[in-house]
Amino acid sequence: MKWWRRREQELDEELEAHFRMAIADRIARGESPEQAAAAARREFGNVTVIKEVTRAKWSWAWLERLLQDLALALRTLRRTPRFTVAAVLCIAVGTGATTTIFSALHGILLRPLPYPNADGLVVLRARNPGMGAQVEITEEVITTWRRARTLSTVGTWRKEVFDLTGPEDLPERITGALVAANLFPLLGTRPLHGRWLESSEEHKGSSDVVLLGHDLWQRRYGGDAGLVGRTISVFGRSFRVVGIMPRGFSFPEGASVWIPLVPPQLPPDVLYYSGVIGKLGPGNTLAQAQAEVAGLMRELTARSNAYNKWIFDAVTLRDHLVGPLRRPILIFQVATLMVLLIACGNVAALMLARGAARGRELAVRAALGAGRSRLVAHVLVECLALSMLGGIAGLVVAALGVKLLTLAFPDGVPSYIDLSIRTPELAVTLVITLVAASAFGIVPGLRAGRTRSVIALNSTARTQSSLGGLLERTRARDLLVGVEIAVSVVLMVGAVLLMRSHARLQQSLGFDAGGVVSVRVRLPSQKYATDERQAAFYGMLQDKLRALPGVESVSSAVGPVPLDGTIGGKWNFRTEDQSPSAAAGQFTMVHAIAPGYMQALHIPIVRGRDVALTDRSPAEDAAIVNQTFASRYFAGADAVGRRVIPDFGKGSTAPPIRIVGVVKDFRHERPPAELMPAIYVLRAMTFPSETFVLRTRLSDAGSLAPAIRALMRELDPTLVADRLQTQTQVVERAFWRERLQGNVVGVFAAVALLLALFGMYGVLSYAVAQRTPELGIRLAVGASSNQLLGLVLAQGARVALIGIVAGIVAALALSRVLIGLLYDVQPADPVTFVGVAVALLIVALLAALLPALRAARLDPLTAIRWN
Amino acid sequence: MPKGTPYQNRIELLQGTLDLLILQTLRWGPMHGYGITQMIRTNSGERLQVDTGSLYPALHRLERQGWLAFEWKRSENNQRTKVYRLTAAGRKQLAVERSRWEELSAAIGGILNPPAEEVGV
Repeated sequence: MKWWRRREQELDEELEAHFRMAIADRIARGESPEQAAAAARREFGNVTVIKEVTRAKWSWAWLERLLQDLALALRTLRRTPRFTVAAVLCIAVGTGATTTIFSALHGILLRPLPYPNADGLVVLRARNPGMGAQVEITEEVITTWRRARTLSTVGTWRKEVFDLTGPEDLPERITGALVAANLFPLLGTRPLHGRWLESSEEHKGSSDVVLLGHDLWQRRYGGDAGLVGRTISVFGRSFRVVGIMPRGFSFPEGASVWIPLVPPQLPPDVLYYSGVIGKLGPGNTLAQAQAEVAGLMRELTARSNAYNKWIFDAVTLRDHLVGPLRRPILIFQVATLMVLLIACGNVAALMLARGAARGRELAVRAALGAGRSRLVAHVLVECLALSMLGGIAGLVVAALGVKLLTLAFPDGVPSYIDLSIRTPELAVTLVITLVAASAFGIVPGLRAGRTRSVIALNSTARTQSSLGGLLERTRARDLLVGVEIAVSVVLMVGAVLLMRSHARLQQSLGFDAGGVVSVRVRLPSQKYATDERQAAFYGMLQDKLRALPGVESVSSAVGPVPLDGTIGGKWNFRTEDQSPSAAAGQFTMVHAIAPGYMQALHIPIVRGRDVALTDRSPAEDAAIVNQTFASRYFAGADAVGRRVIPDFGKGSTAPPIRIVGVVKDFRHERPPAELMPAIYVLRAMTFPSETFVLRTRLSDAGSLAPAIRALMRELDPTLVADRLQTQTQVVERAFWRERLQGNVVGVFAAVALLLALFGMYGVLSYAVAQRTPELGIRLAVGASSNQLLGLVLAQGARVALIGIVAGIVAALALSRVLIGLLYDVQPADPVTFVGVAVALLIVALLAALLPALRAARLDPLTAIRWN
Repeated sequence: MPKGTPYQNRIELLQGTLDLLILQTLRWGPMHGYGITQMIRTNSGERLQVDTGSLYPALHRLERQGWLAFEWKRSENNQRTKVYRLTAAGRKQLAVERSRWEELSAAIGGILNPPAEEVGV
């Protein structure tokens, strides 16, 4: 602005010099000073106006003109509210969707992780696919990793749940972790109050200390900084609080209590650790570390048979945390760009129609001397105004979209993901709206530039305005709608494939989740010291649960419900007529259940019967096996009535187990984990924790939750109703990513379809309006109104068919990117493709029907005179 | 378009010719605005009077287009004056404007005085 003021001053000075020189000249020619001044002033004219006009020549003039054009554009837009609203909505949907997905892309894949040292960290992972959802790692593996020279430090943790007890408040079960003292220094996040754990605290018998998460500290301890140094009780034991971690910190995800990890005195091949993180040594790259770790692991597998089925890898912290989301997000990105494309296509079609209707206005302006560039600028500015309005509305859409996205995470948005609309997102919205404006403004703009005043002005009736131009415009609009339909087909195919895959996944489970609610109870060992006490409590609880309204049956298992985390144990065993050597390596997963468990989950028993309490005997246990077990170990023969003998290692004896029934296969872990042979043993003794499963007649089994909590409080107020959830929630959590993929692409496909249909409707309506006199003539010379109906429908069908065929071809080529995201559905699934094509054709014809009916109802006389 | 002031209309009308006149005048050397008016007036035999309201917008526009450059100089009586001169681009533009003018005047001349032979045919 300083620059502006200087120029103003210089202009003053320049004009004043001119004025003075004029006076001086006049005086030199003999006029008196007064006369000279008066004459010079007269000659000079109005100084203010001169300045104003001169200023207009400075570079700011373009901005002023832009503002004028903008004001004009807004006035024009207000005169055509239907057009404006339609266009703004299209742009709002397009930019809103794009911004939403960009915020996901940015928040999940690009924004720095909330750990100061995240960049040099490598997560070391090990899993055995033969063990299903096993998430723990042995000491032996960790010792091997520690030998890597490319890693300077290695930190470990084990996830745990802690029961916070004590006088402050009700007992509460909190997710936390046992962590090596070096883990937080590795991440780099400092405590808000107090200090990190110290390595001297990693020994048994050293003082019990604890770090607390911010939210827990706020909620349970009132955010009192004086808590540091005091003790709280965990599992009834006193722990000294040494620090409070800052807000939003939660590592491993969900943890808010951290206690030093004292290395357990366990055999090296026991699964214990939950996770391992290494820091790259100075000057070492990820690739070097990966190569070295791979080498070390090859040595380990060569040395010990136990690991030959294991998969080891080393990835960056970000890849570990959000790697599986990368592909879905990129697919979402492509999907939103398609939606944006369709939205722009619609606005372009609207602009073309408007341009055609305004041909004369532009011609008048051209005739009055508006230059070609001015006309183009005018149209472009109008597009700009439209897209700015659309962009603002799009931000509202994006805010809603981001809100919906946050709801998609089953346990809330993880601490390492930040979904929000801030400067980068706003910048992207701005860029998109500008690009969109130029995308749909360029063709109508160029057309405006080509306006030739003579032709357009001469045409008093719109019909006569160059037939060639009309055809050309019609073709351009048909092309736009065809492309829109093709893109919708691609999106629909993608969405249907993902949704079918999601449905297949759910069908593959083998149990009926609807109407089931479960709750986990853990009895503290001091209070429930004996089996009798535990059994008495469980019996009482089961009776009370069964008496709740709407409950059909109640059963229980020792382990968690299917799909909710780690499954039971794994046994080696032999059948009664096998020699121990013949049974080497023969294993089954094992679950301890109560009678009625299968019934509660609606899993059919295909042979034999359920276990019953009367099966209990000291001599042998009773069990059901699944079909995989029966067919793998009793191929062809009947498993019912046979006995198996568990092998707990050298010299151990266990009673044989009699198989009383075979149950249909069902999954404890979600695919792609393979179905494992499983044996469901009648629970012979009690366990300190038990998961109760309630089969109800209710449509929302979750509505029982308050009653269940109240009932447990009544029985024992110190107990925690843990993992109180419906089975539907469990399934949704297990498949949340698939559900998100299907839903996001589904929403985009629906929006794309709506937009395309709107485009189809608009173009055909416009075509009918344009062709009204022609249609009138057809009517006058004997065409029936049905023929006119057919004429318009045929035009719509032609465009739709071309679009559908193009879309199918494109979808065949593109659906391959979904391989890996699809379960039990082929990317070229014929049902999906045919279904989408037929559905689209039908809805396209429906969209064409309204304008077609309008054509059919034309009155020939008015139609011919239509102008 | 906003409602035009009379000045703007006159600029619009004179624009092409005025540009040519200014560029041509500056061919003789650097000059300030007043000098340019006087020169045009003198050289046109007092027939062309460029008014200030057209001159300065034109000068500023030509300068912005890069055809003119300016510097501030002290005059004899120690006044600061803005002196314009032709740039290389301005010289080229002058040639363009000149040939355009010559074409135009030939065309108009042709209309006003049709060659006798053609009329005779």
